Amino acid sequence: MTDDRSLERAARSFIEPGPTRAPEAAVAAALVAVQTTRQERDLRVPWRTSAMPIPARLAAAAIALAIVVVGGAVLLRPTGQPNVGGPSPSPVIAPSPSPAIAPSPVPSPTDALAALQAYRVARDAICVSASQQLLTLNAAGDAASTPAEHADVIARIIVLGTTETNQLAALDPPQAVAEEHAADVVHHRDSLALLGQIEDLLRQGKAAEADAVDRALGTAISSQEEAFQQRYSLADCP
Amino acid sequence: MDRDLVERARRGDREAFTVLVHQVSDVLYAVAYRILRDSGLAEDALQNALVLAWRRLPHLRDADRFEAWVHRILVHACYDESQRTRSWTATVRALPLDGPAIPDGSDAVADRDELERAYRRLSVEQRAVFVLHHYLGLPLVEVAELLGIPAGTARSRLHYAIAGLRDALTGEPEPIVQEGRLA
Repeated sequence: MTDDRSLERAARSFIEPGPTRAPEAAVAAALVAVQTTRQERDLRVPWRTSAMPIPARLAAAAIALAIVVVGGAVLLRPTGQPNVGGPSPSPVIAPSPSPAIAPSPVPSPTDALAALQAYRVARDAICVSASQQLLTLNAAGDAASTPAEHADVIARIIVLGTTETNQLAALDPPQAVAEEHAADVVHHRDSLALLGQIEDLLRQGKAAEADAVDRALGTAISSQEEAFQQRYSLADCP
Repeated sequence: MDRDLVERARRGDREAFTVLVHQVSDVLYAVAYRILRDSGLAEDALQNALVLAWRRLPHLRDADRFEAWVHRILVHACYDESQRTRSWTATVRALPLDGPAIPDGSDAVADRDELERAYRRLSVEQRAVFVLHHYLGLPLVEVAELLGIPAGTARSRLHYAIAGLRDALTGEPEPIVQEGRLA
């Protein structure tokens, strides 16, 4: 059994058995993670974005929401305002595209869930719309062959991004995410400033410097945005 | 592999990437399992590889190379998983094997157990070359290209992998097989 040919056969018959189908749960989990994961930038295609979310992401979002609500119900209660007299029924706020939620001094888990859901719906609407428009611009970026053409595409992206960021800034997030939302808006503005620098460098014909700026700064900013999105299962917001 | 799908995914189209994932995940998992010999580790390697592939896809210059490119990411994910569990695998090696059971005679089963033990003693780099060559059927030159290593290194890793398995079957003393030398 130990001559070369028989060893070859033994090796093949040894390695052949085993699973040939990937577990569906593992694939689904990866695809859920992809929904909140941003692609690395490449100056050939300067700004990356998401497409429409898939049902699997919504399932993950529901789980994440449940965790946030259960864990945050107590934390959300403003300090110094004990719930004297026990819990009272709070008006249920139906999910709505409008992000404006009436402040409640003692948000119940239902309130918190509704507020977060409303926030997600409003934010995702902005982000998904921008993402779809960005797919077209990314295709234009692929077709660009000179630094000046890249700069033109980036200029259009900056216009789109400015609109998107202003819309995000106009949202009224629930208390649970207000701080992180504000930081996210700042990150978006930082990204736009970064793109402005890159555009300037490209217009000067300094493609290598533009690429270096993108790599040095872009990843850090993107990862901060991405962490926020993953924490609350929000759509990727370019 | 549909080049248009790869291009769309490279531009950020998650729906296109989802289609790609369904096209490649079975073979990626099969390869990961055979390198790691553990379904849990293989699942982790697959998930990490798919997410990393999405993240890095904009850097893929040639859409026609997607399949080889994603295999390379998977193999590196297997390396990472192997590192993560190195501390406990030494203990596991001494335990009864839980590999896939196949109908066989007692001698064949004994041979197979010996092979399994010998295989798990190989380095993960050696196992990767072995799987890509003997399971996927890739020529060594392509294995080397896929892994980004010199052809001689791929040949050396396969040589030591085969030597380790041969020793297991002949019952000869089993040296600790390391790349490029015998310790």
